[in-house]
Amino acid sequence: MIERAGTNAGMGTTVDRPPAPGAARSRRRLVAGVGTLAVLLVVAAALSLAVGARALSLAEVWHGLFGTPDADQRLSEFALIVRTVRVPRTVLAIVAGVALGAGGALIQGLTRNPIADTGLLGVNAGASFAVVTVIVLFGLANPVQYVWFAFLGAGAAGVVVFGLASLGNGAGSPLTLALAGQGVAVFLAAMTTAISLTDQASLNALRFWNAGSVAGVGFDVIWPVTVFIAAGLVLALATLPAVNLLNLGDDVARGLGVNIALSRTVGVVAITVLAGAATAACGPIAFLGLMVAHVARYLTGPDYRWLVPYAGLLGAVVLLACDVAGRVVTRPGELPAGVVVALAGAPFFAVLVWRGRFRSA
Amino acid sequence: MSGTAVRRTVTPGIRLGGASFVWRPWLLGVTLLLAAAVFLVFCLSVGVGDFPIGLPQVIATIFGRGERVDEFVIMDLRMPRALAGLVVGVALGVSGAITQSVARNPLASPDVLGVTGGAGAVSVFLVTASGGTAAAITGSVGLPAAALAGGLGTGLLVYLMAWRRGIEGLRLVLIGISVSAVMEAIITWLLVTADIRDVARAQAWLIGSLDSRTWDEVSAALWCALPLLAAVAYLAFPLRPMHFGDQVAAGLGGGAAGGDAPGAARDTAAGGLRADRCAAADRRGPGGPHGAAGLPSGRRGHRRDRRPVPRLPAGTGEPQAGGLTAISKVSLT
Repeated sequence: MIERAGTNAGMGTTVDRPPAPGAARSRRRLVAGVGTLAVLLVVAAALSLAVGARALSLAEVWHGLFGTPDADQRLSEFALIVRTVRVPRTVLAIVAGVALGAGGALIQGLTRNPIADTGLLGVNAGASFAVVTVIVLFGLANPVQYVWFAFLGAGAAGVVVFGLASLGNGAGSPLTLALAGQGVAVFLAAMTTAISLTDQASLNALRFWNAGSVAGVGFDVIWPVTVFIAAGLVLALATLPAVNLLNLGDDVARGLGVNIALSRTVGVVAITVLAGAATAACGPIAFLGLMVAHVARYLTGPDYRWLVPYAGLLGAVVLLACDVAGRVVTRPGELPAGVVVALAGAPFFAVLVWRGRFRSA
Repeated sequence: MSGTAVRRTVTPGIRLGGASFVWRPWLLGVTLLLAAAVFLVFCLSVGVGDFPIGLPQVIATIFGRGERVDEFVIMDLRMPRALAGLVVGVALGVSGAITQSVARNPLASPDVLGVTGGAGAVSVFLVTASGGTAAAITGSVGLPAAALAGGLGTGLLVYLMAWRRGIEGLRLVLIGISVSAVMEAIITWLLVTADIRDVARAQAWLIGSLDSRTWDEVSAALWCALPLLAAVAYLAFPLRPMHFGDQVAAGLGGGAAGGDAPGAARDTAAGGLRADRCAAADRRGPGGPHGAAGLPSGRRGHRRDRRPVPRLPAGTGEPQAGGLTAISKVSLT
């Protein structure tokens, strides 16, 4: 902050302020928090590689990951499980968790609304609608086939929402954006249901799609999704300083030199790409973004430059942990990660809310 | 204000005994117009169908001077459906307005209070489960009553969980969202594991329909809704300062928790009512208040004359939401 000298009678001296003693400490704490979350992420990833219908020890996981293919029969069995099943779903859980967590925090910042979730911009509804539509039109049966249609649907919904929100008197206000998103989402959900009720194949696919799972997707899908999410993260991080200022109100932000329309547009594009790519690969995972955004805000305070990365890491840890838990609780079956996120996360979140840990966005 | 250079237009008040009102012609006019629109759409809804009846005949029949055929079709077949739409629409619209006022959040809608999710989870369980318990419940109390109990129970749970020396808007909504998320997850899981034919039936219930309502159901809904609507009309005034937050509301003499408790309870009841009558005719809630707020009499008018107390949109939301639902019903018919 620059303190200006001599402009005001009341405070007319130059103040060369030393950094506040608390600032360095809190920064150290924030960095330590990132380290802790990273450690948690590694632990959760290790668990995710080891736990499942066929439990593996960490040594077996290690062999499976790095063992040479010309070893004995048993080693190649580990390798098969780890490389074709466990690694893809672990990577997808991390990538999607980061995307949904960061997206959830960013949408709360952009709309200045503490109950905004990544589905708010119609992304989930657009993806579901696209899935149902292509099943009815082209008779696709394999989830891998409709991943890209889902992504297209999510993107199209995001574009429509943003276009609607840019029209009329309330153009560009956070509230208009949120309401346009909600309207489009409800409309698309109604269309999705109407279609799925007339076509049993799409209803059948829709119920599994809606559960939200990180399993069963290969690297042919995961790598492109990761590229999109990485691009979305770059956009999201670039817009964070502006989001901080936008939360002071549009007038203040404009006075401080923020290009409001540009930063909002970049933010909305980032959220659409993040949530759209994650939803396309996993199906809709509700509640994760909202929950980790609040927990991250409690840990970091209102500075979005810390809040969004924290939320991303937390999202990855929570989604991984929920996926692992889903493999254990209903052996030999599995609970989809999206169901576990709500069943396990929501009560925990409600307790934190009750204890008064959270403030509004 | 005499003697100063500032001229203020003073809104005239009307005093009737102990009660006083502010004379707001714009608000009154819009409300009357909306009421007329509700009546018109209601008549259209009764008239449109496989056996079309013209508007004049519909109005004549409603006032008891129609032909016998028309009377049978209207009073016995179509009226319950139209009335159900009206009652449910009003209940949803008012619930939405109250939820948004209490939560002070324009994205809040009655379904975040857990009622919709609870009713949905119970009914999906009853539809999809093949076990003896489910069949026994469905056989003894019936699906709608069980769903109503589930909705009200969940709403009560949310309210109790959110209670901490009073109710605070954001806390209530966040806990409601959490509980709703749990209920949605249960629904998802039940649907994933169920037989596909049951899934279609459960899905049809979750969408909500006004089809084949009977007079019994309509009168039950009316008897639930009327006292609650009266309570809302009475409580709407103390609810107003809550827009400013709990501290200011308390300072202005409205006990925040006191104002909240009946409001939330009423929300819950209205939501449950709708869950019973109309299945989960979802998310018409938020449409009402926003439409109402967008009317010239609503938020925009308020901004123009800079009145310090925002008004609860229930006054306009009510007939308007009724109209909305009637319209959507007509389009469904």
